[in-house]
Amino acid sequence: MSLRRVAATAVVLALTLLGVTARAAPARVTVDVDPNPVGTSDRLRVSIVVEGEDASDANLPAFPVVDGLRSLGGASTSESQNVVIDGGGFRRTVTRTISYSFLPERAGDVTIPALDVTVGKQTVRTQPQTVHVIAGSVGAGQSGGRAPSNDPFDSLFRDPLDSVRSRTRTVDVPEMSIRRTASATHVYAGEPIRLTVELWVGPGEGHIEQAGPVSGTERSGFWVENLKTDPRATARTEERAGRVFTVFTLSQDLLYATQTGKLVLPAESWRVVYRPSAFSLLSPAQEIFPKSDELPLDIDPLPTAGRPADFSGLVGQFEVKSDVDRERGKVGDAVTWRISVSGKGNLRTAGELPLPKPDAFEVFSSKANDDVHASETGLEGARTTEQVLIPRSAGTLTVPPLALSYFDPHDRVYKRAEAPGHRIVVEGGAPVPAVVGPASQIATARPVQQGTDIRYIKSAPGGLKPERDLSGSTSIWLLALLAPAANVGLWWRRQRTMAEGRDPLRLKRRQALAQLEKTLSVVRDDESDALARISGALVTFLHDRFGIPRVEVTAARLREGAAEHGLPSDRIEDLVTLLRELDAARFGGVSGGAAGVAKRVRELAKLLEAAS
Amino acid sequence: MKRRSWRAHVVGCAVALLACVACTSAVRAGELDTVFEDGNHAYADGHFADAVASYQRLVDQGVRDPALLFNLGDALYRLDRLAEARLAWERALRRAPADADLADNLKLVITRLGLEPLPSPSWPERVLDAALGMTTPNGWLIWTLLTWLAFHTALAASWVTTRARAARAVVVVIAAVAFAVAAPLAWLSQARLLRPEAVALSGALPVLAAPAAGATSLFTLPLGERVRVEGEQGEWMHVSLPNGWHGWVAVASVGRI
Repeated sequence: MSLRRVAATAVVLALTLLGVTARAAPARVTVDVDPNPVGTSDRLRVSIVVEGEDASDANLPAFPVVDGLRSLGGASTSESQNVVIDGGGFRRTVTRTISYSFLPERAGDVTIPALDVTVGKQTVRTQPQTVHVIAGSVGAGQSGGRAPSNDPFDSLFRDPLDSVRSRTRTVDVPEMSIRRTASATHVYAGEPIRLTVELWVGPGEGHIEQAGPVSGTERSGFWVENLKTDPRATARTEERAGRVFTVFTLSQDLLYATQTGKLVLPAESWRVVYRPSAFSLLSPAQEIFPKSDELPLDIDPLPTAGRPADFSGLVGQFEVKSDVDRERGKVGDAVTWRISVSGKGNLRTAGELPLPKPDAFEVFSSKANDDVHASETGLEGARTTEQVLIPRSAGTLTVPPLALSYFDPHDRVYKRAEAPGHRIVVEGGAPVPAVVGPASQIATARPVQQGTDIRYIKSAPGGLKPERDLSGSTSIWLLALLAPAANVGLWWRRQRTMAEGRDPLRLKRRQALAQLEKTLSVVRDDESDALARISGALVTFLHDRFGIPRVEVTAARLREGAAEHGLPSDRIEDLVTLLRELDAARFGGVSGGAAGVAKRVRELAKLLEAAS
Repeated sequence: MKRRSWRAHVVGCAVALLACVACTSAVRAGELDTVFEDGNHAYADGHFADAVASYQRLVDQGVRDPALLFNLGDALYRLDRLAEARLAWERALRRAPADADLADNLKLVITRLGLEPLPSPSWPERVLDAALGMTTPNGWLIWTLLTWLAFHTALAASWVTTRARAARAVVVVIAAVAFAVAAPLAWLSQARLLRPEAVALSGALPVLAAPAAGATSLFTLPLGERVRVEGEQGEWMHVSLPNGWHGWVAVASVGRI
């Protein structure tokens, strides 16, 4: 160990001892609000900073609901450690910071109450903080840097230069405001109002990166249809009081009032991310929260004078159509009746449309198709219903005419759209029973009015079975793996066969033992030529395996041939002995019978095979 | 002789066992169908609570047939349990994505819940839905396995025999193409089935900043809102919305699709 290493170890030990002996200090908890004062268009960050040795164990309270502040997201936590020299000793301190983000809702003073923070065994109470909220934005003085995130890992990936930039640069945020305009502020219930939300941005070098409502936009009292808008595609310039503004259309909604009277759309805040320069590396993003004004709307009820008794609730301009797919048929044949209401108006908000019931028919499951889309002037399209009618009896039956009353806000009068009925000539056939059995009940349904009711229950034609998630089944995966595994085996075997096909001698040798086994396995004691067959099989094996000629199997040739293949001498002698015994046994028999000899031959062949 | 008899016994036992399993399955399937019919009749008679009980019994037994989930949603809807109805229909839609009736019901319940309407699917999505709706996710998995086995069998045949070479090549190509179609659809089908989503079963459900009862409430979820499940921690579920908002809710207050 070098002298330098010894010295370093000593210093570390000394520091550790000093650290152990250092006295514990009480935890310190402070609350920091940034910025203060803050604007109603600015984000307010409240940080609870806990310092002390046990700061990591600090148990922070749930942040209380503060009147005048709206929470913008979850808490983010950061922690740092320092070693400080204190009274001649070293002490480790931990600083834990928990930050909450809020949006001030109105100008005035807001008080953040005292918070009880538990650190180890002690509870520390913070000082209440008063935040001065002003209308608008405090501008460049607000906390800059990139837009904060709720992601706890965000700080790990944050550009370290961001904090430096935010300290060293102040940026000019242009004037921004949210303006909401309504296509009409005084309408009838059921008449559309197009609500446009625009972002007005004063002169500036930067650009808008993101814009979105801070929370769900409040539209109570209205049925809302969204119109697709692209803020960048619809950007335009406007001049007001000698200043040029860039105007972005953030959203467009169609509102259909479901209540009457004076309705007020409350003010809403939008979160806008602004980057002051086109060069994103040099300009940290700024977050601004511009807020709109309230928007009062007057909704008149529909006039009672002249209102038909069968008024459908539709407001707009409409027409109705009625078609049948056949005008002749037999009792029991299905007739499809197609009813369509098309036009421009509150097609989606109107309730169930009053349709006449064709008494001469049994009405079966119906289908509704809603082909309504929102345009800048309102909802338009068609609501179509198809009913399957089954004639109950023969004769000339009538599908009733249609009549639909609606209110036309343009002319301010009630109108009526009509479609003629149809006559169906029904010839004789099996009468349809008026009361249907339980099985048919599943298919029969009351007429479903266009998109106002759910579809009727279904049957399960193939029967029900408990479902098992097969993707987690081991047998499925085993079966899937078995196929390629078997193919690999087959491929390997094929390769081997092909290799042996190119080398017949090798194939012959491999087959020699198999052939011997096959011959010996069918030898039986009661066969008269059993020993001759065993002898022949052994000679064939010696020929195929070791190339010893069949015609001249003598002890000398055996020894010579076996020596060429490097067989051990004791095995050769066993072989010679066995052949002699077989030769002699042809005349005098052998102990153990043919099966015993076959067994000895088999064992010896295996020994020879292993030894070669 | 002795050996042959032993084999016959084994085969006999196997056949008997299979017959027993088949009979048990058939009896069980029959019981399930009876309960389903009971539910349907209760629904037809307007006894929706009884219908829900019957359907739920089947769901508890592991039946996930789209028709069952559809009917369960219908019965819950009639009882004005709209969020649960949406949950049942969303589950059904994963198994039958091309079912227009399901889509209509979902559209309606979303409207009644006062939620943002779902965007209309683009034409490629509609084509994909139609393809996926041809069978269930398990069905697509079985098709994938069959085409995979067919491909390997055809390939194996080409290694063990030299006859009908052209026919074998055609079979290999057809099986490979069928597998190439079935496998992505099976994957997509499974991915949709297992997509981590949930439905809020409580109205104005507070979404908290941390998985603790006293944590700050960030925003509230309306009844029946569909959320993405980011993870679970004990009795708490980390959820997020398409606009990026996220937080924690109690597991008991949402239903996993």
